[in-house]
Amino acid sequence: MTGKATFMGYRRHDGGAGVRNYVAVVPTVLCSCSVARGIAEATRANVFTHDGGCGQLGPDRDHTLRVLEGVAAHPNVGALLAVGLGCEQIDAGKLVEAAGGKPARSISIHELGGNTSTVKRGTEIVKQLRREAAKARRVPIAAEELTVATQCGSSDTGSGLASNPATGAMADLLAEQGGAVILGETGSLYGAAGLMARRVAAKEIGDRIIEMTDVLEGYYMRMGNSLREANPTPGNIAGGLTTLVEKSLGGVRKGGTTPIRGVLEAGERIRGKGLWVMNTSMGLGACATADMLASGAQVMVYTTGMGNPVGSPLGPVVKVTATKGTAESLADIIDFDASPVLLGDESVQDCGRRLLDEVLEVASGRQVSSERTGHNVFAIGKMVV
Amino acid sequence: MRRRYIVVDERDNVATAIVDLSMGEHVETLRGRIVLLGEIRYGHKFALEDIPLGGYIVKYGEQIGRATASITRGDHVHVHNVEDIVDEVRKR
Repeated sequence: MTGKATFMGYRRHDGGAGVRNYVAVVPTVLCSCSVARGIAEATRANVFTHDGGCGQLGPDRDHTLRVLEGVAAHPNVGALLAVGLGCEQIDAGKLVEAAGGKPARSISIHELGGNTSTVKRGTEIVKQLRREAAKARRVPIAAEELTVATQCGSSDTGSGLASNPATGAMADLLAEQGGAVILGETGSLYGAAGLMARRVAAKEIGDRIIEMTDVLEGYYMRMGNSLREANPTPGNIAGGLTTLVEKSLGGVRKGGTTPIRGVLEAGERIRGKGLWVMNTSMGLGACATADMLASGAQVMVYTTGMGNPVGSPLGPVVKVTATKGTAESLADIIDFDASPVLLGDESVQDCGRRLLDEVLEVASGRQVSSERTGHNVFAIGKMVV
Repeated sequence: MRRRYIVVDERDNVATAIVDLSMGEHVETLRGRIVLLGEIRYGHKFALEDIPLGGYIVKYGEQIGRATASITRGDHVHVHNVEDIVDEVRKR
């Protein structure tokens, strides 16, 4: 790519750049999720159900609030309705405050007199919010305002050899453009922590990467297992992966090769350009997705060998595979075919360029597979202490 | 002819098969012709050079494990002749 790349995005009140114009229905607590889902189903709004928001201690309580505030503040969200119960830990008003001047309201099930009346009132409000949000228009925005989160799941041989390196090449090109990249999933960093710690912009960043993987190993040990005993998995070994180091090295390649600028806590707002590592929470892939997107990343690139099917209500998730059979048999899941790299028909660099073009197209409004088919999940993970 | 294996980095001493390869098969590499000494299934690795007992397995240009047996060029390289070095490399 030559010169400065751009995409067509939404300029927000607080200066942020969105790639989607969602109306978000955000329950503050598990107890209000059913009502929130009812409102979202009646209005086709994006809903962010989760199992936290009350009865949580220190780090978990802070994390849930951080992620939900990240949703409210997110540039992909054009308007917000926070749905509270009335007695929970998380205050719906805080989410409206975090929304940063965009159209945002909150309602309470206790105040509105029950489930049915709250769904009815919430539905009216969301219809009004949608009219307000619809005033936003796409304008040209420089690629340097883009943050791309990277993740892998249902990995196979092609992931470490082709789709992750191609994603890394895209990450390097985006960093060159002045954009930002997030590499998460602390468990998958584990075996490459030493390597990552040598690639940092300052020594204390490396110390923090080692420390967070130590904390994760401590957590596993308290549960009676070492991370090392569980990895590589029997499936990994059958597929040819020999060591945890090999597995981790294949995983971290999707972040590219630029120096690591810092470590973010799970869901923490992105603080600068270039490559950032996030100490994501414990849980299935959707939890790390939520953490990284809540940081303000507008797009996720998700490499998957066997075919992970879900997207996120917070941003488009570009599914990349290097396994030709997966790209063909799971056509309504996969967005980008990196198999030419594995087969030797395309260089990693060329594929990275093609992938950045795809990301910019998606940022400008082209729907990804999970958006076309409407399959999203949202989940907030547990903090590792 | 389609590529049958992939070498990620020029420093690597192993290659990864991207099709199932048979024992006795010859593969042409940048380091000359190699005769495979075992079946190398899709995703599995074979040695590009002799690796002594205790020597490092190198993939992605990085050490990924240590040989627990003397490995001959063309051998299948996997858990039967490699140990993890996670403790050694993790904090280095």
